[in-house]
Amino acid sequence: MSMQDDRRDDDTLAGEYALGLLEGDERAAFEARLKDEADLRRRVRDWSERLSRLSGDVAPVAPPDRIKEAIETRLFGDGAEGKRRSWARRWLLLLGGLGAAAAMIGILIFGGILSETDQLVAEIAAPDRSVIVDIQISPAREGKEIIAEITSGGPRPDRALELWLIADGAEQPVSLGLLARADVVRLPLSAAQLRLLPGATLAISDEPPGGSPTGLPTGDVLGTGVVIARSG
Amino acid sequence: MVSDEIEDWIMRCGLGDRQAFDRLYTATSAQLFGLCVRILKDRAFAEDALQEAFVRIWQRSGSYVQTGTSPMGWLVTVTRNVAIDRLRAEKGKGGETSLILDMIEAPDPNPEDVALARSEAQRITACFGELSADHADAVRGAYLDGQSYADLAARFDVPLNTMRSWLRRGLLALRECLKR
Repeated sequence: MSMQDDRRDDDTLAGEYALGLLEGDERAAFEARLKDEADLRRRVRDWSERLSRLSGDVAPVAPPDRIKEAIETRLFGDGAEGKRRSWARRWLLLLGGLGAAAAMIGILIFGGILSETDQLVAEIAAPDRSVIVDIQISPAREGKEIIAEITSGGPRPDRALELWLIADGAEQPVSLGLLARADVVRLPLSAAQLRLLPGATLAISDEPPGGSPTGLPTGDVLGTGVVIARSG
Repeated sequence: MVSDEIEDWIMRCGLGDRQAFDRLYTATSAQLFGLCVRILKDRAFAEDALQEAFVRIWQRSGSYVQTGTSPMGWLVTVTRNVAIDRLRAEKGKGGETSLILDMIEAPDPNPEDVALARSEAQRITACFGELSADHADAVRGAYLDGQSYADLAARFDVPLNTMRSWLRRGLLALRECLKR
């Protein structure tokens, strides 16, 4: 055994982090690196994925019914009844109202603060990356529009991709328009929609050529992404 | 349980689909509760942890895709993080902020990498069989019992540095086996 055996490469560090073994300064230093290093984030992700399989050795235990009820009460502010309670109410209950969206974005970009010069962006992707749509939202002063580019995949034959906005507090998804294959599409946004975008979820669904006939997604949801701020 | 179905339900949760949340809960809650019970070793704490885990799952389902993990990998990671936080809080180590693993955004640039990482992960059980018993138990103890280096050193009655070196060797050996 030589000193080499104890050498810690990034992969070992990532494994220790995924196991929750890094503490104090060591952990703070590692998390600081995570912000900037995509490769390190992927290593942590890979260890999380591998280690998660260990849970397969654990015997399942059926939780008591009251847990599900407690979760629904917390999330939806009701029990079995009143399933129509609004999203707005749910989010107020969940996140304590104003600032919630900003807090969520803050978490997503590791504590960064949204400033006026930040650009809003999103990547809407299928889990297997077979469909990817890059979204940029132009700053308000340059006209309100959303710029969507399909960078991978596209609509199925004789079908269309429809873009949806699911804002915090929204009753249901709102269509932002249809995406054409292999083209940069610019879709107009209302001032109200623009305000809702930070922290909102965007999604694309598979729809008939003219778009959803019902005004709500009717086909498969192909990908989702969250709108985050990128420093400008 | 089909992985594709679970993935679809998670993504529909991101769109606020409560029926999808119902199905996801029905299909996965027993496995995730088993994990909470294993980590916390106390039914009441485990019930709290499962509740918190599903609240997070619903709230964060919109950013699931950006994590680049498999659907069960994501659910297990979110749940474990909640349970470990609870465990550490109970032990009075409340100073540590919670783990952020389930929020890490690490999508792979292309579909082949995603498929490779997931198929590699499936071999972990076989690779555990190749580790020395002590090294394997140390890694399992950290993951499934939430044990710290100090806990593990006490459990195996070895100095702290010896435990660190065991565990790192265990991780290296696992990685070598997975890459084969």
